Amino acid sequence: MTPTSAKVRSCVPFGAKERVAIARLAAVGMFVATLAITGISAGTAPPARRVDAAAGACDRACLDGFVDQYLAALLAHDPSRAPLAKNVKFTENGQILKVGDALWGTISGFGKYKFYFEDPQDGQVGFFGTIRENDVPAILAVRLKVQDQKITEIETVVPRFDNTDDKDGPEELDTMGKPNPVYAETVPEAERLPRQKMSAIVNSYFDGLQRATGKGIPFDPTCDRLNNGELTTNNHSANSPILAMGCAEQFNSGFSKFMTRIRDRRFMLVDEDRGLVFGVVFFDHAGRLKTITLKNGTTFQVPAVYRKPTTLMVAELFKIKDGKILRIDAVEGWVTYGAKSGWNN
Amino acid sequence: MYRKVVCVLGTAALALITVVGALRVAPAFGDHANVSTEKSCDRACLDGFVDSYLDALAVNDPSRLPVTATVKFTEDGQRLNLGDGLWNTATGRGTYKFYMDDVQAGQVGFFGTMREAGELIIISLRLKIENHKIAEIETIVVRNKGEAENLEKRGHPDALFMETIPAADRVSRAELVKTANMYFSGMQLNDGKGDYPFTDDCDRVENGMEATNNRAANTADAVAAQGNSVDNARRRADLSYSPEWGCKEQFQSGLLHFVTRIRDRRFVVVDPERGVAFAFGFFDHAAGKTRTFQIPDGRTVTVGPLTPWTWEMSEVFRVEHGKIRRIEAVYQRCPYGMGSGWSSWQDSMSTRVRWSPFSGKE
Repeated sequence: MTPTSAKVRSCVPFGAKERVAIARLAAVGMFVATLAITGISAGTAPPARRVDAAAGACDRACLDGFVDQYLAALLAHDPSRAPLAKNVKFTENGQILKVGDALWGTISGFGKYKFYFEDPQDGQVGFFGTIRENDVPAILAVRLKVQDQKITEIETVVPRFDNTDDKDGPEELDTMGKPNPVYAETVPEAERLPRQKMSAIVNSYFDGLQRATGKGIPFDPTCDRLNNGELTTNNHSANSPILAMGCAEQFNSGFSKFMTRIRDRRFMLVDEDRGLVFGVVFFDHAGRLKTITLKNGTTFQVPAVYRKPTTLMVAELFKIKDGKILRIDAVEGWVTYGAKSGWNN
Repeated sequence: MYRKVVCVLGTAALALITVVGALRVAPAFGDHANVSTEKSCDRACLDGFVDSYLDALAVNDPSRLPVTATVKFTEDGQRLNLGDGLWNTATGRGTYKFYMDDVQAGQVGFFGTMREAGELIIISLRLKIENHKIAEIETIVVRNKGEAENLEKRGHPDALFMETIPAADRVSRAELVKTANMYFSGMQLNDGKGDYPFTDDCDRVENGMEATNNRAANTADAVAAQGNSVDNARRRADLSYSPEWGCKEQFQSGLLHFVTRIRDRRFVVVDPERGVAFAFGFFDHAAGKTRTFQIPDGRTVTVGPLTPWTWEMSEVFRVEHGKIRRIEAVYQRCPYGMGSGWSSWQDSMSTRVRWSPFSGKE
C-alpha cells in the first residue's frame, strides 16, 4: 500500500500482516490508477480488521477520557500531561512531527463544538472540535490509538482559515454547538453490519465521487453532509445548484469529475454498535477540467481552485443506518497536491 | 469541500539572518553523495536539459524527455508520477529564465516563469543528469500571477550571478556553502547579534519582489505578508523590519526571530567558478512562544505568524570574497513541517547543511 493508491484500508494497524480480502460492493467498478511509481493499482478490496486485544480494555468513556486528557495537555502546551506511549507517533496535516510541535505551541482555547466517536473494539477514538490558535478560530480533528492505557498514535487534521477567504467553518460549528444526535443512536443488534461491510459502503462513496456517479452507493433519501460546518447537500441558501441537491442526486449529476483521485483511503475507526465509520483520505484535483456537462445537460463551471493541481486532506465520519449512508461529517484542509498522510511506509 | 476557495498567498517578504553558533559543515546527502563521473555535460548541456524539460512540460508530454528508468519527480515536495501535477495543466513557457549550473555534480537549477491554464506562474527546478539522461526532477510551483508578472517585468536575473569569479579569488565548494549557509543560520531565531556576511550592496529578490533596499515598497503590505492580518495593527506599531533596508540591516534588526527553524538545507548546485550556491530548504514558523522576543535595541516585540506554517524555499546566493552579494528566492507556503521528498525524516527535520556532491576531502 502506498499513499498514491486509491485502495482502501480499514481498521488494521498499519503494517499488520493478516489482511484478508473481502467482497467488494456490487457495481463498484473501481477507477484504476496504475501508478508507475508503485506499480500498484487501485481497486483492491479492503483488508479485514484485526482486533487489538490490548485495546479492548478501554470502553467508550475510557476512550473519550483519553481525548480529554490529550486536549488538556494540548491546551497546557505540555505533552508530559498526556498518557503517551514511549514510541508515540504524531502527525499534523500529514506531517510527522515531535509531540509538542505545531498546534502544541499555539492553541489558546477551545470553542463550543465537541464531537467524540469511538471504536472500543480496536482502541481508537476520534474527535472533531473547534479551537482557537492565538485566538484565531480553527477546527481540529483528532484520531487517537490507545493501547495498554497509553496513546500510541496521534493523527490530527487542523484546517486553518487564516489563508483562505472562507473563514466561517469554526463559527458554523460553534453555532451548531453539538453534532447531529443521530450519530449517537445505537443500531438495533439485529440490524448491525459487520465492519467490513460498513467499510465497503463507505468505500463505495469515494468510488462514486471519483467516478462521478451515484450508482452502487446506498444513500438514505435523507442523507446530508457537513464539510467544516457547512451544509453541502440540500442547502438551498448557498446559491449553488450542486449544493442544493441531496446526496444521491449530487453524485448522479456527474459534477465530481474534477475529483481526479481519492486515494490513501484509511478507515481506522469502525463502530458497529452505532453504525459509524471514520477515515482519512486525500482528494486530488489534477486541474484539467474547466467545465463539466452534468447529466441534466447543464454546464457546471469548475471552480477556479480545482482548475489547478490541488489536494484536500479529509477526515470524514459516516453514519450508516439500515445499510445506507445517512449522514456525513467532514473536517478538511488544503494540503500540497499529492500530499501524504504520514501513516504509510 | 465543494466550494472552498484557496487564497493564493500574497507576496511574502521574508528572508534574512544571523549566525547562531558555529557552522556545522556536514557531509552531503543521500542520492547525491557521489561526485559525478559524468564529465561530458557542460553548462550549455545542462541548460539544454532544462529547456528540453520545460518544452516537454509546456506541451504536457513527458515522453519527449530523455529520462532514466528510475527517474524521480517531485512537485512541491510530493513525489508524483512524471506526467502528474503541473504536467496536467501547463500551457506554455514564460520569459524569465535563470539557469544555475553545477557541472561537477551534473545538476542544474532554474528559476523561471511558465503558464498554467494561460496564467503566469513561477517554477523552480532542479535536474540531476546522469549519462545524458534526467535522473532527478525537483520542482516548486508558485501559483501566484502577480509574483510571476513581477519576475517577468524584471526581465532577467541579476547579471552578477553569471559573472566569473577570478581564479585567484575562488573558494572551495565547502567554503562557498559555508558562507551561503550563514544566511540560513542567521535568520533562524534571528537575534541581531550574529555574524552576517553581506556586502554593503547586497540585494535580495523574492518571487520577483525586491525585498531589500526597496524604497518603493509598501511596508504595510510586506509586513502583512509575513503572517496573517489579524495582528497587523500591533505588528505595525512594534515592527521596524522593512524591505527598504539592506541585507545586513534587516538581519541586525533581530526582527526575524519568528523564523524558528530552517531545516533540510540542501545545497544542490554549487558553482565556485561563478560564486553561486543554490539550495532548497524549509522555513518553519512555530508561531508559539517564539513570537515574543527582545530585539537588540532592548524592546520586547511580539510579531510573526499566529499559526504554524512553513515556507518551502529555493534560494540562490552569489558569494564574493566570503560575503553574500546577491540572493534570489522562489518559494511558497506549505503545511507546517513538510518534507522535500528527497531527505529522510531525520534529515528533513535537521538544521544541518548538506551539499552535493561531497568528496569527503573539502
